[in-house]
Amino acid sequence: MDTRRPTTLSCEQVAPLIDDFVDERLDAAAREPLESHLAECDSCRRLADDLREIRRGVRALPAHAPRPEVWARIAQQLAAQTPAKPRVFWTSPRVALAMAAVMILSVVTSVVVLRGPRPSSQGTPAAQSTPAQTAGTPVHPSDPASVKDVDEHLRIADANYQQAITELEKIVAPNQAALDPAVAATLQKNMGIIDSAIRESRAAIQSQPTSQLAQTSLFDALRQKVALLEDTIALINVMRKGDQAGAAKLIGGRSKT
Amino acid sequence: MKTHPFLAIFVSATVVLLAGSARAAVTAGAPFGSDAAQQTEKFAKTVPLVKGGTFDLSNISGDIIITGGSGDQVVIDAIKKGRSAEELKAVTIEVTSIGNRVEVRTRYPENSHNLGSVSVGYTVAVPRAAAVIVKSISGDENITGVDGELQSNTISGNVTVTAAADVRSLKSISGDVHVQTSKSSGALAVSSISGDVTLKDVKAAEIQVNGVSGTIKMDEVTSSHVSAKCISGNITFGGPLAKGGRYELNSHSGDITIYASDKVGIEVSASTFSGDVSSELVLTSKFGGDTPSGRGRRMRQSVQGTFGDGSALLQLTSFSGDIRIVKR
Repeated sequence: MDTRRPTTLSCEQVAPLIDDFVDERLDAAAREPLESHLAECDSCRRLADDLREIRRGVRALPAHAPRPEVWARIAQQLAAQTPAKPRVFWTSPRVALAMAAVMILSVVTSVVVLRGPRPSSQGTPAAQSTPAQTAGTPVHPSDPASVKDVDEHLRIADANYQQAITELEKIVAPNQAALDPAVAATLQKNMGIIDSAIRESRAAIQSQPTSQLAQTSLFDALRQKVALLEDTIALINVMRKGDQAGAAKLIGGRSKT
Repeated sequence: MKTHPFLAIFVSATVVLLAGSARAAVTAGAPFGSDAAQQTEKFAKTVPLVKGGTFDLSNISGDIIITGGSGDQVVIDAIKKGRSAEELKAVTIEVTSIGNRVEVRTRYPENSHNLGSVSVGYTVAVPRAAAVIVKSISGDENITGVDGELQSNTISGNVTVTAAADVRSLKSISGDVHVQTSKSSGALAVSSISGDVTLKDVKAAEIQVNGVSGTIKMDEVTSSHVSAKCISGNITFGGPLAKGGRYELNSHSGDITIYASDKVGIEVSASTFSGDVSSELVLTSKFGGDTPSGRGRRMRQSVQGTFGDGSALLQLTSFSGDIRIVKR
């Protein structure tokens, strides 16, 4: 016998509340029915988990010592696209770091939120994934405008990640000699593996633009690439200073890939 | 007289610089191994460590062996290896005891680019209850029998942990990470960029494993929350699944295999873009009917279904690899 309580909220009702829920800003009266829904709705639960993951990422960013310097350059590039911000605002590395992080992560958040709840596994039979849908589940098949919005945000998110990667690569390329050749080769090899994953995911999106799996794979790989480049730069900086013992500390910060 | 707490710390601090120190047990000039040109210099130091204290070792090059045992002392044995006595003299070992913490640092002179051939290997016995932090650039780390919180990082070396009671964080860039017959009272984070990660007979409330190209293998692992991610490596999980547990395994191009017994119900959400999903447990689709099953039999690229009461959640994703649920 199924003893679970019936869901009292629909996915559509949950969507506007989920940000506040993740931020623990809901009171008990609002929270309880939402928790009941999440306990039964796989897609909304995953959405909440995604949002928590993004928030954890934001909180973790300042802990990486080399990042302000790295992100400041990226932030300046991004700022060039948003001239409304006074230039002097970027002079603080911490501010630059926070802004750059928020810019990128807000894009990702937008993508997650705009994507909306994935088709509910608890929903109607029509919501069940079929083999044909596996790699190409439409986001909101009945709403072409929504699909277009999501596509646009995905494109922007991809472009921003790529811009960040390009900036980080510009820093790494001329400084790789600071690394032990074997370590540099290992890092390079793994960058190549991530690049392949990015290419494959982009090709999959090209062929099946609404595939959530392809989209998720792309952004996982992009995040992985950024994280690995940041670690490489951190390692280079420490090695160049001759503080080799400090280099070992840095890999301690690499927990989110 | 009232003593300022900072002053008290400084007064109690013991710093021993061992380059040429009379306290060092030095034997130089002894060739070892097959390389007759190499010189060695031994070092030994014993320092007390209060109960609940922390042992913290940072090294540049050389293997590290740490063993937990009885007593309340840290017994440090090290051996420097290099091309000449001058090189060995230039690299020093610094032992600092402050409050409840013992720190060991291998110091190379600034701009010591020509000292890359000098390595320092450590063999250390610590009180079993001590917390241990180990960091190194190059060299293997082998840690056994430590009950305190354990963190270990290396750039190019393997990390092996056995019979540890509170493992928290193990990381390597290019080496393998192995954990055997160990526990964590909290969250255990393990990562290697290119090496393999192996967990065997490990218990932890939460386990997070990350990698890029290495494989991730978890066998006899007990945890209610497991997350493993990598790009090209295969991921294997075997262990009792907890009721209410959550198991998220994600590889871009690697295969994912999970061994599940029929004792605990599972709810499965598995999807792959270009691989196959198969299950030896007969999963019931939430929307009616059973999903096809059977060893090696092609199913589909996405499966959502339950077995039994569906109390353990499995989220399995691979872009191009296969996903298999194998009956234990």
